[in-house]
Formats: sequence, structure tokens, C-alpha cells
Amino acid sequence: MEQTLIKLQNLSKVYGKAAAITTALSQIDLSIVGGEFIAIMGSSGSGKSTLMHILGLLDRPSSGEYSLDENLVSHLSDNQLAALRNKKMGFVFQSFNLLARTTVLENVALPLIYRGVSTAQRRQLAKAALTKVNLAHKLLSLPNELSGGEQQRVAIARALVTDPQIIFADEPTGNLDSKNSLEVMDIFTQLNAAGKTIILVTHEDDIAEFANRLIKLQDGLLVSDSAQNNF
Amino acid sequence: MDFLTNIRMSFAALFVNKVRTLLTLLGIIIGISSVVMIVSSGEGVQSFILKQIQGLGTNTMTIMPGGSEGETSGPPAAVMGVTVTTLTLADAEAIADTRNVPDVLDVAASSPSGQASIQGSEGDVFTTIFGVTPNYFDIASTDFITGSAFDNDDVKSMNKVVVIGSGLQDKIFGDEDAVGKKIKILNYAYRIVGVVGDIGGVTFGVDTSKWAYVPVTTAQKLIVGVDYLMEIVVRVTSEDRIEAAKADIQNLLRERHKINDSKNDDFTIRTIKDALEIITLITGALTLFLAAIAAISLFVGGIGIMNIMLVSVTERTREIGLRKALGARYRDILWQFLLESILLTCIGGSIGFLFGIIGGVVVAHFGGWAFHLSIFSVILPLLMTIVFGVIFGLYPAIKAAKLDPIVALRYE
Repeated sequence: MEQTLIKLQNLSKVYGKAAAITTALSQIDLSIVGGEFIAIMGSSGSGKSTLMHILGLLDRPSSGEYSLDENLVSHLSDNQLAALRNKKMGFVFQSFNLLARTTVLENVALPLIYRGVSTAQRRQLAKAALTKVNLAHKLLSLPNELSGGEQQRVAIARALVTDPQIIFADEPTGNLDSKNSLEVMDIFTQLNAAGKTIILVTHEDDIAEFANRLIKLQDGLLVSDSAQNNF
Repeated sequence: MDFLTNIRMSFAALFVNKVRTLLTLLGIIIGISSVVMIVSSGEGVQSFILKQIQGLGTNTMTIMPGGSEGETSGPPAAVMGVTVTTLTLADAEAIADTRNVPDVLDVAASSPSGQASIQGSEGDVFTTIFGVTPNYFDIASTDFITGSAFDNDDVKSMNKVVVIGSGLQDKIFGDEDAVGKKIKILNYAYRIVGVVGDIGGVTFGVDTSKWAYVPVTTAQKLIVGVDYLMEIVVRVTSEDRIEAAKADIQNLLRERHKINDSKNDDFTIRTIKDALEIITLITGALTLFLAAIAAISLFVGGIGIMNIMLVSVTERTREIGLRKALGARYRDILWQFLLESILLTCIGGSIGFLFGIIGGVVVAHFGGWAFHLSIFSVILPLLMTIVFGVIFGLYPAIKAAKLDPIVALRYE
């Protein structure tokens, strides 16, 4: 857990050109070691989503350096980034992003398709991931037959199925009621306890409290970075 | 990603929008079925005509009055409705002489045709009358129902004898045997010596059963009032002697007609081989032309596919973003959408192919030729469907594969 997993140096992200330039992130320095549970907070427009997209290799910084597992990733091609995402990362989104008209089992197995895992093994791994989120009894249900909480648990199972090092969660409780939110956060806590690095974007204080490190952004600047004791 | 998973995913995606998929398929089905139907019909007609011509024997050639431009290209003047009077019975007799043309087997001549109405039991029957030499029936492989042909003496003596078609016999005499009876043609009474069935060779649907044949000299003098011929048909000893005989006849006729330069030929010789080449060329071009029109409908169907694939890409932007976030590479997304459009065209192509064959069989049945399906008419639509699937699926697929995962994920 001592090893540095992610290291950002002087990282900036700007959108637009010349006169109409918008700075989303400005000179961010950040170091994350394996096994951390980090909450990124900030008001809308603070750059927290942009930071998460860059950390999750979905977006590229305009300048500065990003090393993952002590390897620079800025120069990698789109396809190489896709392979890295598939190998090391799992994603959970606010709006679940499950494929409609596709069974829960197949939704969870989706990342494994891009790994070249055989159909039988995909099913087996997806089933195991769904068991971890207590949805082993809903394998053949369709997403629209599930509650919001259940849908988000399916999405978490999908993030878990590849056994990634890092799980990114973008406002994972944004569309859930408080009971389901707690359930989802409970799963994240367990995953973190099992050694996964969790990076969570939220604007809710009580959700951020689950993390053991809190990073606050404001207008693209990292304004605070503090450890916090969770209960 | 493995191929089978990809195919399964494509099927699932197509199944989601059943009505839309069906309508898109319709365009391809119509396109492919018309191509198959037209190409197979064209081939059917071609082999039908070729067989009819080959029925005349490949060792025959036809000499028509009037020159033609080029060896086999332009039609002879006589065919174009110009009256050319340069070919005579004496020419035919000279050709028949083996001292002039060693390979000649026999020669038939026919005069221009005349028209006459013949008084029948139920009113007048309008008929076309040809003046021919006796062996004309033999070369055209005509079957005599009763009686026989007139002979060379009848030609020499300009006798008033006639061979009538079976249709004419029915109209004039009903069930009675006509042989030995007389009919009146243009004021003269002719004795009927034979009744023939359909004439052999290419008739292109013309009812030949109401035709009548008289000795060529009789026709020239009493019916048409001319002293020239419409055509001379020459049969040579064997197929491989045909070019030699053709050259002999050319020289003979040039000598007889006092022609020094082949450019000034006042006759045209067509061998069956020439005719076969021309017919093959014409039917081939016609088929290609019709197939090209059918291909336009296939093209329109293809545009329909591209349209639907573009809609599909837009509708599934979030799905594409998600897949990319989860590790799909450029080629994974490209293949996903490309396979979908190829699948669409292949399904449409298969159904269209089936309909095309059914259509081809129906058309062949009513057209009276044998249904014909060559390798070409199988391979062509097959190739077309796959190529069209790729061509019209490629742009939407590239568009999908190029999507930025973040933009796609944010898309509402």
C-alpha cells in the first residue's frame, strides 16, 4: 500500500482556443497510493469531473504529467488507454449507464468482452461479481425491472468484474435515496477494506465522509487535501 | 472481442427495432431480387435464343443482298428496309456448283415475300407467301404434317404449287386433308402439295403456321413481281469448312457482280457463328443494362441502410461512450457497427436472392424458356450485398468508433 499508484505533476486542462479559453484544471499536483479511499469535492464547474476523467484515462490533460504505476500515460494512444482502463479501472456513473434490453448478467460481463474472455468464463466471473453485491438472484432480470439501488449495484458489479486496482465513482449516489445511498457506500467501504483504491466524486458532505482522504477543488485549483478519520 | 459475441450483439441490436429493421431490409430485398431476376432471365433468354439458332445447324450461312459496314457489326442494307436487287437465282445456282464452291452441300433461296388473302371456309385468311427452293424446308428443318415439298422441276417450270402452314390448313379446310386441293392466290389457282408445322429457326414469337410457300420462280413472277432474291441460305459439308466456303462465295459473288473492292460489296454473308456472336452481344448488353437499373434500386436500399445506421449510432451514443470507458478499442466499436450493417444486407440479400429466383422461375415459365442460374448470377448478388454492407456501413461505423468517450457519456 506504500507504492505510489497515481502521480499528477503540474497538470492543467483547458478547453477552447485563444480568446474563448476556459481553464478547467490548473496546475494540479497530486499523489495517490494504492488502497486509498478518496473523495473529490467541489461545486459544479470546479473541475472535479474533469479531474476524474483525466485520472480515469477518459480525457487527456492539456499540460503536465500523469503517471500511473510509475509509467507516464500522456503519450499513449487511444487504444492503449482503452486497454489500460479495461485492465486497471472500473467505473460507476451517476446514471448507472446500464444497457437497456440487456440482462443484468450480460451488463456485468460487458468489460470482459473487450478482454477476450470466453463466454463461459464471462458468465462465471459476472455471476461472482453479482454475488458480491447481493444480486445473484437477479442474473436474468433487465435493468428496467430493478430499483435504482439495485441498478447501481449492478453497475458496481460491472466495475468489479475485471478485478481492477482503482474504482472511479462519479456521483454514484446522485440518483439514489438515502437508504440506497448508504447501501452503495457500504459496498465501496467494503471494497476499500479489501484493498481497492476508490476515487469518488461527490458534492454531498455525508457521502464524502466515507472516504479517508478529502480533496477539494475550486475553480480548477486544488484548494485542500486532507486526511480524515472515518468513524 | 470474439466474432461470435459480436454477431450475437448485432442480432440483438437489430431485433430491438423490428419494424425499422424490416423496412430497411425491404430496400435491399427489392434491390437484390431484381438483380437476380433480371440477370437470370437475361441468361435464360440468351441460351433460349442461342439454342434456337444452333438448331439451324452451325454449318449454315446466310447471304443477304446489300453490303454492311464492317465485318459483323452493322446490319445489311436489306434488313434496314432498303430494297436491294443485287442477289439473283443465278447467283444461288452458281454457289451451288461445287466447281465454284467445293465445300457446298446445298443451297436454298427465297424471294421477297408477298401478301395475299385466300378464300377460306369462314371468310378470307390473310397470309404471307414466300417463294423458296425445295431444299429450303430441309435446311430450316421443317416437319411435313402431310404431303411433301415441291421439287426442282416445279421451280424450273414455275408451277403453281403451294405448301401451306398448319394454321392456314385449319382456317381454310378445317379437319379435311388439304393435299391435292386447290387454293386461289392472286387470281391463280395453286395445287396444295404439302402441309407443314412450325418453321424451324428463330421466329421471335411470329405465328409462322399461317405462312404459305410457293416455288421461288413462281413467287418472283406471279406474286411479288421481281427478279431478285431476299436471301440465299448455304449449307456446307462441315462446320470447320465454313470460313473457307465463305471466302469462296465472296470471291464468286464479287466476280459475278464485278466488284473489285470488298468495301463495295453488294451482299452480306452471315454465318451462324456471326449471328451467335451478335445475339450474345445484344442480349448480354441488354441484361447488363437492366441489371444496372436494378442495381440503382439496390443502391437506394444501401443508402437506406446508411441512414438507419447513422440514426442508430446517434441513438446509442451513450452506449458507445460506456463501451469505450469499459475498454472497447476503436476497432471493437467499428466492427460492432460494421457487422450490424453487413448482417442487415446479408439477411436482406438472402431473402432478396430467394425472391429473385422465384421471380426468375415465374418469368421463365411465362416467357417459355428454361430457368437458368449461372455461377455469375449467384456470385454477383452475394458480392454486391457484402460490398454494399461494408460501403454503407463504414461511414456510420467510423463515426461511432471515433466518438470521444466523455462526450458520448455526457450525451443525452
